[in-house]
Amino acid sequence: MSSHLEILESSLEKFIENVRQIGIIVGDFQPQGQTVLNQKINQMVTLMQEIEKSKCHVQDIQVPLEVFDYIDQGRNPQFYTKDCMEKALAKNEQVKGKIDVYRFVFKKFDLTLMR
Amino acid sequence: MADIVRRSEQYSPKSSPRGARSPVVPRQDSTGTLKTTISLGKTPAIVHSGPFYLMKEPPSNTQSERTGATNLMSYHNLEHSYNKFCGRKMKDQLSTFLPSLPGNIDTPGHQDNSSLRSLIEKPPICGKELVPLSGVQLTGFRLHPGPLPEQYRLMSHQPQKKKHKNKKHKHKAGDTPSHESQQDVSTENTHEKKHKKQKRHDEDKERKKKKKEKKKKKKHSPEVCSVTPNPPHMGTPHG
Repeated sequence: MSSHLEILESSLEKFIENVRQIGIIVGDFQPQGQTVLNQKINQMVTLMQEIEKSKCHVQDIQVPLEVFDYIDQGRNPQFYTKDCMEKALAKNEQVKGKIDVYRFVFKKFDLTLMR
Repeated sequence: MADIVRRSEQYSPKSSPRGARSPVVPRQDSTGTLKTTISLGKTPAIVHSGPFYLMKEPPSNTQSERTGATNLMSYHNLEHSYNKFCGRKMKDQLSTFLPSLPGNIDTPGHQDNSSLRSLIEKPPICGKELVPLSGVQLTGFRLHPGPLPEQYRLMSHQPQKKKHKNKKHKHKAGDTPSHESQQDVSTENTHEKKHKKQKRHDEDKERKKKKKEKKKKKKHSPEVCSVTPNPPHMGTPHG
């Protein structure tokens, strides 16, 4: 699975680089660059074909929608993982505190009833 | 004394003092605690045998059971991941996660209509076969030579990574450094540089014009005119 993800990642990077190069060619176009532009456009199509081929290998990967909100805001998506872990830890501590209090109360009640 | 009947039968919620709320769980007898049994008539009724309901000890199989009191991070072997994400300082910008991507990716997606949410809400048309373009189809991509107008130049809008360590001292007291202000500063700096370049071009043109005008004025100066003698005036007699 990690290899399929790496393949997909490299394909996407190549595609983005290709599009960037097309943008540079088009930004200040020269007549002798027409053949190169045509090659780059077809290269874009072949890279899209590669990306579509790797689609079936990563279909079982589930991504939480909240991560997209982080990316849309221009934030690092690793902060979503960090926030999730911090929330889980805080909730764990909260529940543990409740359980400890209930155990303490239970022991006290047990002792008072024994008396 | 009524016959004490101890039965370890199934417990019905109906006979429990708490009604239907009591769980049907086999209860363990604990020594040293108060035990009472109740028998109701000839027909055997479901009775409690053992301590009071509230005196019963909770199940003691906490070692294998996962509760809220267990350290879930160590239970799921996530301590290393926790230290990795929460222990180190990470930059909040998307470009730190994807440094190889060109352009300015730290801006919000809704500004340039490139958000992932819009992609989910309005998915593009897909499923069609991807075929390389033929020569006839590529003729549609014939372009005119020359540069693009500035309004369509998006590739030049790249963030300039400046070191703000030395420049922080130069900031005024009213300035508050933050991520957003840095991004704004970077975009503003690019715009300011462009405006400065344009101003320099304009200034150069004006200087050239002024030089030309000065040269023209020098040609038409009185020193030049003095070479050609003026005719003597027939002045009026004084006196």
